[in-house]
Amino acid sequence: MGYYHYEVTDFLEDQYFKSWVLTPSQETCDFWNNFLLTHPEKAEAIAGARSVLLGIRAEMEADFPTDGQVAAMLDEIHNRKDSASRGPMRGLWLRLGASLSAAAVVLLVIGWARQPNRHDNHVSYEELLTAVEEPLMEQKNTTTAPILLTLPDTSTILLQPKSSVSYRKDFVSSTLREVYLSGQAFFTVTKNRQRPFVVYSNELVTKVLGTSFMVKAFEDAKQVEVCVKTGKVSVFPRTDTEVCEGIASPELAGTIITPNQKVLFSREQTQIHKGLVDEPEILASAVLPAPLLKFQDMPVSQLLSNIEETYGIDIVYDHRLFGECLLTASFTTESLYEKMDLICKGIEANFEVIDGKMVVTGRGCN
Amino acid sequence: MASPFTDTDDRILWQRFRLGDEEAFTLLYQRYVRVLYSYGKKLITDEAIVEDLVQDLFIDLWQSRSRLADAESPRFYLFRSLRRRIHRNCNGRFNEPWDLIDEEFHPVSLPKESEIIESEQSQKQKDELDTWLKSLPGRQYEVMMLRFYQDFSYSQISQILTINEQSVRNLVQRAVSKLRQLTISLLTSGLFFFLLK
Repeated sequence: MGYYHYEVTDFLEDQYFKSWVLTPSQETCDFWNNFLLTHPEKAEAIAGARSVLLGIRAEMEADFPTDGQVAAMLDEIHNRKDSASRGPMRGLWLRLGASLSAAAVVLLVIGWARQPNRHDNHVSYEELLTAVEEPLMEQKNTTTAPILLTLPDTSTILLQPKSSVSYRKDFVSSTLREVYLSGQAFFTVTKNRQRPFVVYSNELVTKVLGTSFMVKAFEDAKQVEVCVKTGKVSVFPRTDTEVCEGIASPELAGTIITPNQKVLFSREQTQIHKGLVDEPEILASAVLPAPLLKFQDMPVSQLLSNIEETYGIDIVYDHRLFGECLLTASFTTESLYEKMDLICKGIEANFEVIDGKMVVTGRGCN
Repeated sequence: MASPFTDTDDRILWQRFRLGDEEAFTLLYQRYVRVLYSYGKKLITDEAIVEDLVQDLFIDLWQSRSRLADAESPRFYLFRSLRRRIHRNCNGRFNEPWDLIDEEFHPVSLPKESEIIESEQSQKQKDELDTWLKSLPGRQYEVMMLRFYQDFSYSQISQILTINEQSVRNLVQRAVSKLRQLTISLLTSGLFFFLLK
């Protein structure tokens, strides 16, 4: 068998390999142990494929219903299967409304029907507050330094001067963790998938499950700004009812922003512009590769892809023109923009930020 | 593998069930309720809703049995129906983030602090792979599960998720390449010997 040229995916697709991992027999164990002895260079691929198969199985089995549940569900099915009534569906819909989202994703959504559409698109903090029926707690920062607030769910808000936040007194018990913001604040949200965290600010509603991000929405400003530090956010204009209705569709609606990206929402034109934050930072992650600091005669493509990965941004360039260019340099404390400047000087190119991506252009070095 | 029952066995049960055989119906339920439920749990966190959806799936199946066609693979039919139900029930709600994830770029989320501390104590390396699995964007995980745990073909998965087949392949490739990055970084740690034990 030609297993010596197999990669992770090939092993995953191979029934004989899978039978060894999932239902090992003496025969398959002998074969694969022997194979590993003779092809130690395949250990990595085999270990990877093995961990995938075992990991997925463990994940799935962890969520298996108990025997009691299986029996109870079957009883319910037998009780209801011959009656035409569909009573429980209503209860289901209600519960659906109460339980939101499952994945470690961050959604940022523009307000859904909280207020009827207004001719004047602008929505103020005061207007947002008056629309809330429940009693609210309010915190104002009238000092000249930022203050740190801790919410009942342990999420924190770093509230900047001349800014205010309000939240419902029953914050702990409500289905959504809702916060109303006027001004600027940095949120570090404790992850709770059952209870999304929602920030209402002017015409924007930011919805997350657990992440950290900054919202800047002063009453008199022309734009609302959202920057992501960790996690993921998607932004829709508040007026975009289509997005709110189609939010469960497979298509990705709105604008997604990830760490080091930001959106500027123009309140006049109700338009969203995507860009990069002013000082992109290297993402902290154990899984991502380390940023390259010193390199000699390194292909630019390799260098750029390292930057893409460590900063979590996209760099667009013509591989035919620049991919083979070689660079020798070292970085110390340069910012992303300085690094890009240096690289572009080396390959006689220019770069600009378009729609949250770095676009490199030039004549190439061939 | 994940499914010890062959499609042929299932087809016989399916045919009997279509003719109104309650025992065959119950057997089909017993065979697939666990994986279906677990699949649903991956898409919706609320157990009660998953229970309801799975129950409704089987109740509707029974009630419409006479109108059902012969199914090549009843298992495929069940997965596809459940996936559609979940999708339909979540329509208009913020309830299915799996579908909203932009698969093009997904920064690997950092493990929570408590997880980091735990992993420092024991089984650190094993945990890193678990983290990899958990940090996969939902769709990538879903596709990996359907392909390698449930052994569905790429064409079947594309029908379950209502995306095209190439997208399914791309999702698998992306998940695997992320795994490669991780395994390379762990290469020096002796993890492989641990894994292969």
